[in-house]
Amino acid sequence: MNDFFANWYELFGLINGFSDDMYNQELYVPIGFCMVLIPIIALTLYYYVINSVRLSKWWQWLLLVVIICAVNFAIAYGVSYRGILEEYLASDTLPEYALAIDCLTFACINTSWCFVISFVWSLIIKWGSSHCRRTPF
Amino acid sequence: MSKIYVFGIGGTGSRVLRSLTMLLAAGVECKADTIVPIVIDSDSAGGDVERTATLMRHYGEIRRKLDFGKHLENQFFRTEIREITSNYHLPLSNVEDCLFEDYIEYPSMKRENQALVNVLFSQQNLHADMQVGFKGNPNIGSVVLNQFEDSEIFQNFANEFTADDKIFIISSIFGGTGASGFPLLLKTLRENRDIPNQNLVNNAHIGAVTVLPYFKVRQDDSSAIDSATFVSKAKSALAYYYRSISQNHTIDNLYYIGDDTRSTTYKNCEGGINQKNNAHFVEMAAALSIIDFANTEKPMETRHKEFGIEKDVNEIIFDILGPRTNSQVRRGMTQFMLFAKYMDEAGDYLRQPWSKDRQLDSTFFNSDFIRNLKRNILDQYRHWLAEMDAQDRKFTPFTFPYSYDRNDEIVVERGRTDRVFDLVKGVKPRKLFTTDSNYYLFDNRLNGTRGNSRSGSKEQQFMELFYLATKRLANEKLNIN
Repeated sequence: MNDFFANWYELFGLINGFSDDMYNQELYVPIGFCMVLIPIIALTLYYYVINSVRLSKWWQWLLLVVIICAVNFAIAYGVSYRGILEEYLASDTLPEYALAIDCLTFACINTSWCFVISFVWSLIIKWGSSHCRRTPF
Repeated sequence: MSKIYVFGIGGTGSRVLRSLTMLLAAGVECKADTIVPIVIDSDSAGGDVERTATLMRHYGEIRRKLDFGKHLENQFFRTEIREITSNYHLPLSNVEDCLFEDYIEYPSMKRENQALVNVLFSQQNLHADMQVGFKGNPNIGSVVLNQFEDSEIFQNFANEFTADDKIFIISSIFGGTGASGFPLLLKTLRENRDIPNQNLVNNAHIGAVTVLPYFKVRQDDSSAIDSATFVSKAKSALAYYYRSISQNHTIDNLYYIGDDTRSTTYKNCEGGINQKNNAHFVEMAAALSIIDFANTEKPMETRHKEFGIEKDVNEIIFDILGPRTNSQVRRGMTQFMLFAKYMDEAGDYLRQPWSKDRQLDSTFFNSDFIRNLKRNILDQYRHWLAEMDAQDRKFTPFTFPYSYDRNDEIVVERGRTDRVFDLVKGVKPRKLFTTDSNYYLFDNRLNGTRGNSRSGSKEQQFMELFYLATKRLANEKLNIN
């Protein structure tokens, strides 16, 4: 799974040093699972369990996706920063790159993928929803 | 294809036909496939006559776009209202711009004949302008209305008459046109040998509703109409009907309806475009007699029926109606009210799955069909209900707001969108397990309705969908089955 998610996150290039640390510490896996599962679960609930006319406007769907992306952003930043920092602190060294900035960059990449998954998943499952099958369009 | 030819005589005839049209639009079940209204009124420009004819024409325009195959459930507009005469009107000749004395050629009569006429008719009668009706004078009507058997339309009616068809006559007993027209028309139908299908028409199943006094008019010394005479006229006419109609079984079913205990007083208007009385519950009850008549077989001898309500109250709601009437009208009227409210008050339906799935786009919602439906039927339906609500004896089954404009005309207002189902008086809306409420719940049920609402023309799909969704809502939310 580590390779699978690494391919996603590194599709458009590596972040020097940071990407290696993320890969070596297998931090891509929990973040990747969250990136995939959170939108799938949240949007499935939205389309099939809540399935509400009241919440079927496009901007309400967008708001939900933004919240999903924000949660994933926070998870990506928090897990990567803490994971890498703890590893370095254990070996009493410091990374040779700007950890906070690289974590932010990584969180942005994760958020982008999260948005793509949310959008594609919405398109796949919306047709079965009785009241939200025309949401977001 | 069974038809009922409904002769609506005078202003009351037209007003009862208006109520009948509203009930049929709401899907109240009528066993006949087709209603053929024929309005007999010399006051062809009368407000009541014109309003009813316009309504029936709009009804026909809507219905023409719909299909009523066996696989479809929609009951709205199910019964056809067929126009066989222009404006549903049987024209009377020589009554326009004509005084009664000219009509009977009084000036050219011999003196002895004039003397006889003077015994039968007052000077006021002789100088009466018949263009606006007979102004409460049945003695005038009984002369003038003798002509309709000769009219081409009457001949056409007889020509088209089949063995499955029935005839119904609506008339009031306390005015001029109706009181005189009913016995004359009945006599023509039963005894005229010079019409096509004479045997079928003479032996047809014929019913009638005789509307007894149910309103008064303001005292006006310059008017020929005086409501103080309504009861005495009704008594005389009843005695005459008993002798000449009931005793010899000329009629098969005779219905009586009236209400002189809580009569509304209208403006005194002899006729013309201003004679446009607000709808009254008595007219709706009279319209229900036609629906009852459609269900009956020709009896061996005359059957008389009266209409009553459970309690003598000022405000009639569904529960005050008798159980049979209640079950006849409650669901359809409630469904149609929900439909009317949704089309007026709910917005944003263009983006709903139910409209997008059926490609009901802005072009469709701006089409003549929808505009006609909204403006001329659904809005008019609420207006009709508001008119009945505004009477002294109110028929007020629904809660909905209306006010009066400067001319004292009723204006139906938009209701609260947060209490859509607080609609039927005496019925507390049920709580449903859903996050949607009010018009969100309405859209919810529209989205969740399939049935056969995905086939046929867009108009057909639209009507079927709303019928099914309102039926479900009336059942689930208001426990109306």
